[in-house]
Amino acid sequence: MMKKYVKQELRWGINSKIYYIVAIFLSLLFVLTLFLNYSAVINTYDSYLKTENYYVENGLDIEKDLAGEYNLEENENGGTVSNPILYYKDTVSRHIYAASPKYMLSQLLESSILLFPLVFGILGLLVASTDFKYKTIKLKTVRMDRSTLGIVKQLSIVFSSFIILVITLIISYLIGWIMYIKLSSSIPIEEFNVGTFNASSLIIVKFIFAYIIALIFAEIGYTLGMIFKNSIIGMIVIIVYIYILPNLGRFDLKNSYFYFARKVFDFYGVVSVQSPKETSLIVSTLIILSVIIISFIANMFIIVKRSSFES
Amino acid sequence: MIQCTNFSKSYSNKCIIEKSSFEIRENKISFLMGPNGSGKTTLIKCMMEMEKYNGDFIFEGKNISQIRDKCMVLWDDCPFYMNLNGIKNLIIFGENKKSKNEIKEIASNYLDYGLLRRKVKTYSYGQKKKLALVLVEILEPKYLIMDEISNGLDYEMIRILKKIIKSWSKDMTILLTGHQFSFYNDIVDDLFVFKNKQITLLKENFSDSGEKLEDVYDEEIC
Repeated sequence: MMKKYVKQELRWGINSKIYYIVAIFLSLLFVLTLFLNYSAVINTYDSYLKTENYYVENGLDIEKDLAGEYNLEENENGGTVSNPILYYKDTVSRHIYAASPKYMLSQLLESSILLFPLVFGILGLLVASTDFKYKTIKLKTVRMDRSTLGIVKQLSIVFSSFIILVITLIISYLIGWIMYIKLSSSIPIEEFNVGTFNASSLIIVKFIFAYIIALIFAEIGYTLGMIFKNSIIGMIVIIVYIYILPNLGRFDLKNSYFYFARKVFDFYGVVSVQSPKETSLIVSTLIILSVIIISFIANMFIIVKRSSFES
Repeated sequence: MIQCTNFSKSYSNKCIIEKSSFEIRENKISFLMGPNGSGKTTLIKCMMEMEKYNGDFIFEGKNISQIRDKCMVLWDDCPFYMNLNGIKNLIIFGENKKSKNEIKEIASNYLDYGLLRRKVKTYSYGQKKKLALVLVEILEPKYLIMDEISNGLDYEMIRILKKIIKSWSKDMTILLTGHQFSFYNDIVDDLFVFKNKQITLLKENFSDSGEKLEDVYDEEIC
C-alpha cells in the first residue's frame, strides 16, 4: 500500500515540476563549477605563458627549472612561489586533468560538498512544506495515517534525489565534455603532463558519498520544513549554516563530512574544502549518523503529533 | 456499517460531544444535523482519527487504520494544489486508480476541459467542489464523508448531484453534513442530530417519511 503513496509523492514532484527545477538548478551549478575550472585553466595557462616569456626575455633556463621542484609559501599578501614556471605548469596540468573526461565526474561529485546542502536541502524543504501550504495534508491523512505519510515523503526524497543526481551528472558531463573539446582547441593540452595525476578512490565510492551528502541535507531540509512549515525560513537556516557559519569543530556536521570528503576526493580542480578540525573516523561517523537519526525522529514526531488542520 | 461506541470529545476539559453511540448503516446516506460549532466537523476528524477522542469507531469490524484507503472526506474548503491545474491534481490524488484518459473523461462530466487545464487557484469555490466530486468518482471510496458539499454549487449542479449521491450510495456508505436542507431533504436515509451535545439517530428512511429537515431542525434543535 505504501508503494502507491510513494508513487503519489513522486507524481506530485513531477507534475509540480519541482524535480525539474531542482535538476536544472543543480545542472546550472555543476556547469558553473566546470566553467570555473575551464576559466582556471585559461587563466593559469595565460600566467604560464607570461612566465615563459619572462624566462625567454631574461635568458633563463626553462628546462632546468621545469625539471626541479617548487615551493609555495603563503602569507598575508597572497604568497610567493620559488619556481613559478614549474608551479604554473603543474597548476595548468592539474586543472586540465580536472577538466578532462577522465576526472570530470569526480570534480562534479567533489562539488557536492558545497552544492548539495543547498540544492537537496531545498528539495527536502519543499516536500515537507507544500502539503501544509495548500492544506492538502487534510486529504492525504484521511487516506493514510500520519506516520505513513512521513515515511512515504522521505522515501520519495530517497528515490527522487537519486534520479535527479544521476540525470544532472549525465547532463553536466555532456556539457563538460563539450567544454573540454573547446579547451583542447584553445590550449596545447599535449604539452602538459596530466598522466601523473590519479584518482585515489573509485568513482562509485565518490558517487555513494555524494549521494549520502544529498540525503543528509534533504533529510535536514525536510525536518526544517516540518518544523517551520515554511521553505524560506528553512532555506535561510541552511544557507547560514553552510555558507556563513565557520566550521565549529569536532562535533560539527560540516567538520565530519569534510573529514570523509578529504578521504574520498582528491580536489584537483577548483573545488576544495578546508581541513577538518581534530576528528576521527568514529567521531565523524557518529556525528553523521546522529544527525540523520535525530532528524528522522524529530520529523516523525512532528508529523504524528501535529494536527492536519494547523495552518 | 460504521459502529460508534461511547464516542466523546473534549477540548481542554470542555466537553464538545458527550458520550454517544450510534450506527451508520452500510450503503445508506446518513445526514448529521446540528448548528454551527456543534461538532459536526469534529466528528469527521475523530472518525478519521485525525484528532484524539474517547470511544470507538469500527468500520465493518475493522479499525480505521485497516481501511483508511477506502475512506474519503470532502472537506468544505476542498484543498488542492493551487499552483497546479485541475487535471494534474486529479492525477496526483487519483492514486493511479484510473488512466489519464479515464480521468479526463470523468472530469469532463463536471468541468469544462479548458477549465481543468487552468491552475486551481483560478477556480471558484463551486468549481473546486466539482473537482473534489470528480475525485470521488476516481477513487470510488467505500466510506464517503462530505462536509457542506452543496455550498457554492450552482442550481443545475445541485440537481444533478442529488442523483449522483443517490447512485453512489449503492456502493458507498455516505455521511453528509450541511445546512442547505432543501438539498438533502430528498436523499437522506438516516437522520442524525446533535441534541444536548449528543449524537443520536432521529429517524431511519427519512426521505420516505415526507418530513422536511427544516421542520425537524425547528423542532429538535431550535
